Order: sequence, then structure tokens, then C-alpha cells
Amino acid sequence: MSTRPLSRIFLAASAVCALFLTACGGSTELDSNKASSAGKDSPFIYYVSVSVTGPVAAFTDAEIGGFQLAVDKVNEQGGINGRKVELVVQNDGNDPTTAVTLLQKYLASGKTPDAVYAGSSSAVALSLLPVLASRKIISLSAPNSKAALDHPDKYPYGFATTVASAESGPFFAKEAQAKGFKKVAMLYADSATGQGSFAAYQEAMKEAGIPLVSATYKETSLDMTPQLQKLQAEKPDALILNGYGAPTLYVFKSRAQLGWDLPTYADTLASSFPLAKNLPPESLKNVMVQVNKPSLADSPHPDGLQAFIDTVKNGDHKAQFPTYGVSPYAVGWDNVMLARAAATQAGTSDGDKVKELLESGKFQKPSGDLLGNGKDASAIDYCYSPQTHFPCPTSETFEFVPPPTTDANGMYVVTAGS
Amino acid sequence: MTTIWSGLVIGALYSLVAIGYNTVLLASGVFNFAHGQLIMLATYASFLGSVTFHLPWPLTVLFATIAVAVVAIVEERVAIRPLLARRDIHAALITTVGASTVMSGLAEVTAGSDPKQLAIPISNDPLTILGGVIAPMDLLLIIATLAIGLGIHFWSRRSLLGIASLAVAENRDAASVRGIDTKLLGVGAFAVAGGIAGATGLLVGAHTYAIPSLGNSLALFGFVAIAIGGAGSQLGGLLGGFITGIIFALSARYIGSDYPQIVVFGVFLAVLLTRPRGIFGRAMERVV
Amino acid sequence: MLEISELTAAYGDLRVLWDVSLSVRTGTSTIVLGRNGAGKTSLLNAIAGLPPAAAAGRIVFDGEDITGEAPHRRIRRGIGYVQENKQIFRQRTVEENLLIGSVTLAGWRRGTPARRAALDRAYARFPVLAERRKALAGGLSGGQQQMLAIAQALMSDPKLLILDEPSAGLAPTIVKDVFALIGELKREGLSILLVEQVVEAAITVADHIVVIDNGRVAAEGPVKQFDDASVIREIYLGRSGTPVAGA
Repeated sequence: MSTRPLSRIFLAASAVCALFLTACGGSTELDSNKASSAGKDSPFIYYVSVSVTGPVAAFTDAEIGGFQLAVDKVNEQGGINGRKVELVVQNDGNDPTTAVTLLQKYLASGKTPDAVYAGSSSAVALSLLPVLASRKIISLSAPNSKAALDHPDKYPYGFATTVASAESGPFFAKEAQAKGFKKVAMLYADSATGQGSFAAYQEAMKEAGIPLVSATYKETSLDMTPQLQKLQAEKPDALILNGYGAPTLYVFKSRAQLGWDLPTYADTLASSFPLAKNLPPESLKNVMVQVNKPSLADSPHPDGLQAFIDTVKNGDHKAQFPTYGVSPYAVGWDNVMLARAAATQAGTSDGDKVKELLESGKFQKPSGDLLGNGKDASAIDYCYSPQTHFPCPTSETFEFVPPPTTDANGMYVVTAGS
Repeated sequence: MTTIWSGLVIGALYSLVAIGYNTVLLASGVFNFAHGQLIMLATYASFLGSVTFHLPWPLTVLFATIAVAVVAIVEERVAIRPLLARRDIHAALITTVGASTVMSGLAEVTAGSDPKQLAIPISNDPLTILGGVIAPMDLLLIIATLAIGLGIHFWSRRSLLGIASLAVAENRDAASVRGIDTKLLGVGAFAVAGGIAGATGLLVGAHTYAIPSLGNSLALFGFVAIAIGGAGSQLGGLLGGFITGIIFALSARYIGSDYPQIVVFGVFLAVLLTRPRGIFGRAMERVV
Repeated sequence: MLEISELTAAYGDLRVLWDVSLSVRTGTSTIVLGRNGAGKTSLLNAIAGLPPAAAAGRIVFDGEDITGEAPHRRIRRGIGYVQENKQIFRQRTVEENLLIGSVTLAGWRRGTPARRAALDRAYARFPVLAERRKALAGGLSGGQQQMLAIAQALMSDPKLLILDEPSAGLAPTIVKDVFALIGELKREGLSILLVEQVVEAAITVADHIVVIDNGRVAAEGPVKQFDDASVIREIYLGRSGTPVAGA
């Protein structure tokens, strides 16, 4: 009992500390910035803010496996601009506040990263980008929310390295026009991700002149019949579904129960869930899922991919491979390779110079080094400009396929007959 | 009518949570927030029984009943008993929330966050009844929930043990000096609540799949169900669950999919303001 | 029947009884007197197994040490406890209240012969409860509720009946009825331990008197030693701790 006041004081004290850390960290060590990035003998610091604990820990572990393999490879080939690369992994617990605190602490310690991977989620990225902007540090990372993050005016040094999921909207609109759909319905999760997905489709459908009706569900919903009935009453020609996991299963179950077999398209989020494994084929009649084309087993793959898979399978982080396949490892790898290409082509890791290069259109994509975007990285176009810091999709980026299964490498396999 | 069926199915799930809440509340005065998680664990136990061990369904039900009852007893011993010994029922409310977090965390760590499909004993081709479509397992879920809810309601009103548990809920000390072993009754209530959750795991899981987030999805609306029906009234909890489910489905269908939660909580508030003891609740003022 | 020796009891760290010793011999009645807050109810609760818990000393009932036992075990040994303020189950019916009092009898069915017989005895003794057996206990009058509380405690067929201020909040005529009943129970052979504020009424059924003040026994002795009511009045009015007689 007597320890209670003490622990309270301690708690209050640490809360105050946390508040001030932000301010202190930001103001003190300004000059050390230049000191460390200038030194030729100092290492090239590749700073990674990810969630090593919590629900995405296993996925993160695989990503870190990719970072580590790429850093080893780069060092073997002489580092970046003659400097050895040092990988710094910070555990932000997928919490924006923690992420910022850790970064501030790191900066306050007198070290300055040369490149940053700014978080596994858009929320973390959103918290880190302003700090990075104030210190002119380049970040190359894979956040999802183009709407929230693609603001070169506010975040001039933040660049995305994967195609935003919002690009699914225009891709679907093309399909809808080709199929002659007169009216389309969308059912999406009432969450930031779901609303983001809906906004993307809404804009694209408006541009295509096809009416879009919609309904939402809570992530805690246990039955989707009423929502589907509501949409069914609108008599749409096709249905777009956003979601992941159990809610998508409930949707397909209710859809089958209602005997409603209209063409149904699962967005990239919904398609990353193994639908075919969890539902009987009759529930998936007329269902198409949108996949990243490089993830299809029979797409042409980069030359180094098989060797990379073999290395991963024998490496320190192999434990996650059976669950997630090669994709998270490739994300980690590609981001390091892009950081090297940018710094090498700019001849420096100075934020302004790298930014200028990336926005100039003269950036050469390191096709031979990239593993996550198909052969010759043909599924991605680093179309950075002063207006956008997100890459563009190409004709090789997306494809609609019947719900696939996954092979031993985590690649999608479309079984015939569905 | 399909919408009504859908509401009844969801309502049955909420009713089951309400029955679990009430069973423990009545016998030990503790609000066991972890009951939704016990139902979640029941779906996993039923998955283990039906898919992993390939047990026939009666054995799956028996296995899940025992397994979840044991978990509930452990919860009582670890999270509740030490606090009841210190006569701290309010802290017990917090520790049940803690127990709830531990259970969903353990499920997620051991089973992963992806849903798992249970093997069900009968064909689940939809039936058309009264002009509405419903899956056979869902129909069984509704029937089983009604039977359990009515059964436990009449049992608690008629049997000596049931009356004794109502006495404990009303006044724990007075019940103990009438010779009732309140500790044993408390453990018994957890075991019964866990057992009921386990026994219905197969029916629940057939609809929801086994998934770690199920407990959280259920906990809140189970609470709304007993608030509408009246805390401490088994009949009220049963009906409150079905009412909540039907309101939810009808407002999702006809008002708009953004509204069901708002409508349900509107009804919840209206009931709290006009009939604070619930529509069917008789006074339970000493509890909670 | 009941031997309490040097009992010290506390709510957590807060001591409320110090070195209390008293005894109730079989077939006799002991009255505990004392001012409000003197520790009378605490004493009865400690005997029944409710807080405050014994920190030192012993409670022996029927030759067995029951100091650390749970309340329901003590009740099963033959202690009936009528708590203060008519602690009945107000949301249950009269008959359900009586049945709750009978849980110590063998069997879990409502209709065992022993249980039926105990019910019949209760209704014979309290005809008004028989008339209102289906009524909610909370709807009874104050006097009826007190009768129900006593009837409920008698359902387990106790050897020692403990009553905490059975006259509290009742009209004078009903207080008379209550004490007539207590006298009757005593004549039937029941041992009685009674806490009471209405000294004049209590003395009519008392064999032995214990005066408690500030959690300690301030005076104790057979009822005849307290003939002079001024002695008792003195204790009520203060001068606490002054031994009055016998102690």
C-alpha cells in the first residue's frame, strides 16, 4: 500500500518527461546533424521504425529479415558512397507517439540517419514525417494512405516506395467500363482503411460516370445480411468488397445465403485473405479478387528472386516465411536497394540533393536489384515529381483473378475451373 | 423476414453473452466482462474438437463444455477470488477486464488472428422459413439459446439452488449467515457460465468462425442486452439480446448501414433514462 | 455452548474489539449492552464469521474452535444469526426467504420432508407469514419483516440464536411481541445472545449481562447484579471504561 503514492509520482514524472522529450530532442543537437552526415568514415545510418512487438510482430520480423539481407549485400558491394551501412531498428509498437519519441531520442543522442523507413502504418509515418522534414532527412517507406501522406509541400523529404492502394479505384473503373456495369455497389469497413478504400473507388467511379451505392459495416459485425439486403435493393450490376478476415467471410456467407451471385470484386485488402481456403466454392461464384500481378506464381519473376527465397529460407528470420511468403522480405530488401540507388545517384545522402534527384524524373530505377515488383520491376513506375511522392501503377501492377490459393513461396496460384 | 432472421441470429449471440453475465452476476455479484472471451474460447475448443481431433459432434460439445468450464474456474480463482476475499467487488470488475485481455491475447498468440472454420455436423444449405432465408445451424443456435435462457430462468426461480443464488446476489453477507456457501456458489456460477459457453461453442462458431476478436465484438452488445433487459434478470437478458439483434438488423437494413450502433445505443440510453432497471428488470440496486 | 476468550478483532488494520471474553451457557440468554459504536454488532459479526475478523483469541462453539471458519460452516454447526435492520431478501417472497433459511438442511430439493416440516413449524409459529407466503418480503410491514428474519434464522434449527437489536425501528406494541417470542424460544431450550438498546425490554429475557464499551468488556455479570438501572444508565452516558460490577 505504501508504495502507491511513490509509483504514482513516478508515473506522473515519466509522463512529464515524455512530454518534454519531444521539445528537448527537437531543439538541442542541431549542429551534430551536419557533423555526422559529412564524415566519410562514419557509417550510412539506415533507420527503421517498425513494430517488433504486438499484433504485426511476426510480419515485421520478416521485413527486418529483408532489411538485414539487403544491408549485408550492400556492404559486401562496398556500402553506399563508400560508407558502410548500419541498420538501426527501433520498436515503435505501431504507436505514433512512441515512434516520434524514439526518433527524437535518437536525434538528441547526436546521430542523424541518412535514410529512414518511416513505419509499418500510415499513422506512424504521419507522426514521423514532420520531424524528418524539419531535419531534412529522406524517408523511403511503404505507407498506404496516399491521401494523408502525399503532400510534398508539408513532407518534402517523405517518399513512398509502393503503389498506393488508392490506385485500385481507377483500375476497377476500367474493368467496370469494359464489362458495361451501369451501377456498382460497395461494402466497406467503417474504419480509416475502409473509408480510404471507399474514397478511392468513389472518385474513380465518379470520373467514369458510373453510379456507386455503398454500405458500411463495423469491424465487430457478426452478420452482413442486412447490409447486403440493403445493397441488393439498389439492384447494382457488381459489388466491391473491402475488408479483411472474418468480416469478409461473413459477407460471402450471407451473399450465398441470399442466393445473390452478382459479379463481386474483392479489393487488395480483401484479396490478401485466403478466401478460397476458408469458403466453399459455391460461396465464391462470380467472385474476383484484385491481386498484385508480381505476386502471381506464373508471372515472370526477377532473376534473383529464387536465390533470395533460398537465402531467406535458411536465414535468421526464416520462421515467418511459411506464414507470409516472400513478400514482406522483398519489401524490406527493396527499400534498402532504393535508398542506395537514390543516395548513389545523388552522390550524397544530403536530403535536399536526394529530393531534387527523385523529383527530377532523372532517377534510374535499380531494376536489377528490386525483387517485389516483378521482372525488371515492371509493376512500378517511380513517377516522383514536385507534385507527388508516390509511385504510379503500370499495366503490370494489378490483375483480377478468381480467389487464388498460395504456393510454398507465398505466391498466388489460380486454380483452374473457378 | 430474412432481416428478422439475421437479427435473431445476432440477437442469440448477444443473449448468450447476457446469460453468461447474469449467471455470474446473480451468484457472486461480479460482472464478468470476460464472458465474451469465454464464448470466443468455446469456438476455439469446438474447432479443436471438430477439426483437429475429428471428434463426433456430441464429444466436441462435451469437450468444449468441460474445457471452457475449467477456464472459467481458473479465471474465478486467479482474478476474482483474491479480491472477493478482500471484499473488493469493484476491483473485481477491473480484473475481469484484465482476464478478458489475457484470454483474447492468448488466443491471438496461439491461434493467430485469422478466422478458423469449424466442422459442422449437418448440411448448412439455407432454409426458407416464413418467407425468410436462414442457415440450419443458425436456426439451431436461436432454438438452443431460447431453451437455455428459459431453462436457466425457470431453474433460478424455482430450484432451491437458484433461489439461493438470487439471495447471494441480493445480499452476500446475509446469504452467508443463512448457511449458504457463497464461495462455492461463486465458483459454481463461473463453471456453469463457462459450461454453457462451451456447450454452445459449436453453434456460435458455425456462424462466427473461431476468431480472437469475437470476445470483444460480443462483450459490448451483451452488456447492452442486459442493460435493456435488466441486470440480474435471466429472462430480461434473453429478450434483451434478441431485441438488440433485431434492432441492429432492421436499422442496418432500413435506416442505413452507418446507423445500427447509433440506434442500438439510442435505445440503450432511452431505456437507461426511463427504466434504469431495464425493461424486464426488477430491482437489483445492490448489484454492480 | 459459546465460549469467547480474549477475542481481538479488526477490519483490516482497524481494530474494533480488544480482549473480549464472554460465554453463553446452554439454555440461557446473554444480553450485550453498550452505546452506539461500542462494538456490539462487530462482536456478533465476528461470532458469525463476518468481518471484523478475529486477530487474536478464540471462539469456541459446542466444544469446537470455530475462530477461523467461514460463516456458512458456523451456521451449519447450529448458530442462527438475525442481523440488525431486518436483513431479509426483500426481492424474494416470504416462502423463498424461509427456504433460503433451510439450505443447511440435508438435500437440495425444495420438497424434502425435513424442509416441509421446518416450513410448517415456521407457519404455525408465525401465522401472518403463512398468509403472506407468496408476497415479496420487501412489501411486508416492519414488524412482519422482523418476524420473517427470525423465522428464517430458525429454519436451520439452531442451538444458539443471535439477535442484533430486534426492536430497532418497531412500534412499542410490536417490540413487546418480539420479546415475548424471544422469551418463548428461550423456554423451548434455545440459547440466546442478544444485542439491544431497549434495556428495559431486554432485561425481561436476560440471564446474564455483558456491557461493551470502546470495543472492550466494561462490565459483566448475572442480571441480578444490574438491578440498579442507574448503573446501566451510567454506562450509556459515558465514564467509559469504569468497571461497574463483577469485572
